[in-house]
Amino acid sequence: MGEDLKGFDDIRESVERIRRGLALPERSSLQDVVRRGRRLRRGRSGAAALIGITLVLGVTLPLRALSPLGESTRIPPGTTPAGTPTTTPSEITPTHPGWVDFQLPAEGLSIQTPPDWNLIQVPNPALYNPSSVFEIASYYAPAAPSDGCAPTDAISKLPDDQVVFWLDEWGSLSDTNSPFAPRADPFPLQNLASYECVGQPGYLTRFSDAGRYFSLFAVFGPHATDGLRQRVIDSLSSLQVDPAGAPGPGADAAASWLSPPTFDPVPGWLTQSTSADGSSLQGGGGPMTWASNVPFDPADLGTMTGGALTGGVWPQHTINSLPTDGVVIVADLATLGYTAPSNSATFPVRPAPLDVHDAIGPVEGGKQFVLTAAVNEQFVEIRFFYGTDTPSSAQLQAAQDELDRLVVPSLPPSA
Amino acid sequence: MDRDADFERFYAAQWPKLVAALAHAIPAGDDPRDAAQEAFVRAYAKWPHVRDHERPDAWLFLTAFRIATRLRKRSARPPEMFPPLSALHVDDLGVALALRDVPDRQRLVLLLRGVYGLSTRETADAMHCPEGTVKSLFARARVTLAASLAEEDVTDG
Repeated sequence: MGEDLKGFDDIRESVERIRRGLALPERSSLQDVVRRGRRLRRGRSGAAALIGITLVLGVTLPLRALSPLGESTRIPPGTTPAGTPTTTPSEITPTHPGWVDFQLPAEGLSIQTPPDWNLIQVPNPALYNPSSVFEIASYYAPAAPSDGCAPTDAISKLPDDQVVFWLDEWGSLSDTNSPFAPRADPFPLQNLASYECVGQPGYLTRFSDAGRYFSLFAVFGPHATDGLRQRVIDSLSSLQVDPAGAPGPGADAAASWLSPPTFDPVPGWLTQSTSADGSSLQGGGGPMTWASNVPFDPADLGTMTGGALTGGVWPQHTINSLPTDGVVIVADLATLGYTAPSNSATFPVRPAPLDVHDAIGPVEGGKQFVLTAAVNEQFVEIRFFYGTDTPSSAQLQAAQDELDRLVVPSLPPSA
Repeated sequence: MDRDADFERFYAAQWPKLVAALAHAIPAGDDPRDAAQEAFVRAYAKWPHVRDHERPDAWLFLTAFRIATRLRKRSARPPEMFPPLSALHVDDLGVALALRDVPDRQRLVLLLRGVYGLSTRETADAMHCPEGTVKSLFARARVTLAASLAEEDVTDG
């Protein structure tokens, strides 16, 4: 275990060493911080005072509020975030008569909406990948930024017959395992589920457009009409994406969805795998399969319904109650976003079949061992849980037998 | 309470630690002082909130990390190494090289837990993700890091 902490302690010591070597910057730096901090604070207060002001910009549109806090900015249609008109009504060809056009030149995006809908920029500034782009509400939604991954204030105040939807953009695909299909027309609302960061059922559509990658969440009130749903689809179908508007995900864009590793089925072993399309995979795990020689706890099965991971990445309840002779194996593709060569020390090429004795551990508080390997040009992390720090030879043999049945899919041609 | 004096103490106490942590948290070549400065601006603007935060230092680090990520996306100017290579201890270089192999989120977990001492639960709260995700990221990061450091040792040796 001491060896396992080596890197951890090295970082701590290194940061401390660098810290000791740093002198405070010039006093002007602090003065700059205070001056800009005051201006930012005043800007927030001033914006809050503007609540209720109505702007007339070609068409009469209500500017109900500006952001009272943080980086969220409510903007009127047909303007840049700074309020400078960039389009006139005559230049806009709305999808529907009376609809308005929101231009976001800095983001390389535009979208049309019904005239009484609100657009707020960067509703979730805490997000860094994906980063928050905008939120649109069919009602007067709070402009206060959220510290989370969803506009929680806006959702909490969602009227029963209204809708809020928001767009996030992925700067890099290294943090996601999900597929991004080219955007369809009309815009599809997909994957209705209860997402952890949303707190209630909503749609999640991941899509690519013009070489950029987005996630779109939409939450409808329980009494939203089909007409409202259609207006959302029409609005999203009007989204225009400028390929030069923001950096794409770069080389790792090719890291498309990969099928999970699997174990050939045999009596006495139960398995659960994430779905091959990965469309509903949540959390930080990669495509994965759980194998167990004891029944899975129902609570764990509930987190892997239909191949979707909606809770933790391991069958934690099963692991917690694992008998001392039980074995749980989690095989996880750890490739996504990982760009090391195939002779990486972290994921060494190992001859088949893999050997359970190559696993290191116990790690992470004990009773688990980790084996990493490059197999079929993919990086695989295999975690063995034994219910004990000292697995018996019978347990090791059982784990080895299951490991012999591991099938790691080859990289798809697109990757 | 004098807001500015209070903040100035915070600035003096946290600036070196923040820059040092950022030096390992963001890719080599990005200047951590830019993101640190921006994070302090936001901390000043929200000072009553930040001061009363359970972990103002961790709040500051997370804010700076996110800013650094955005600056990286948008910056067009050539990167400037800070601290300069000549100022780094050889072991710090080893850590920097090892961390280069660790993906962003894993690196963030390592720094939050290792340098700021956040628990799994606190890290999950800060990152707005499940504890299991933090455990997974942490475990992977440590495997990657340990292997990278071992590789460095072999190379050095």
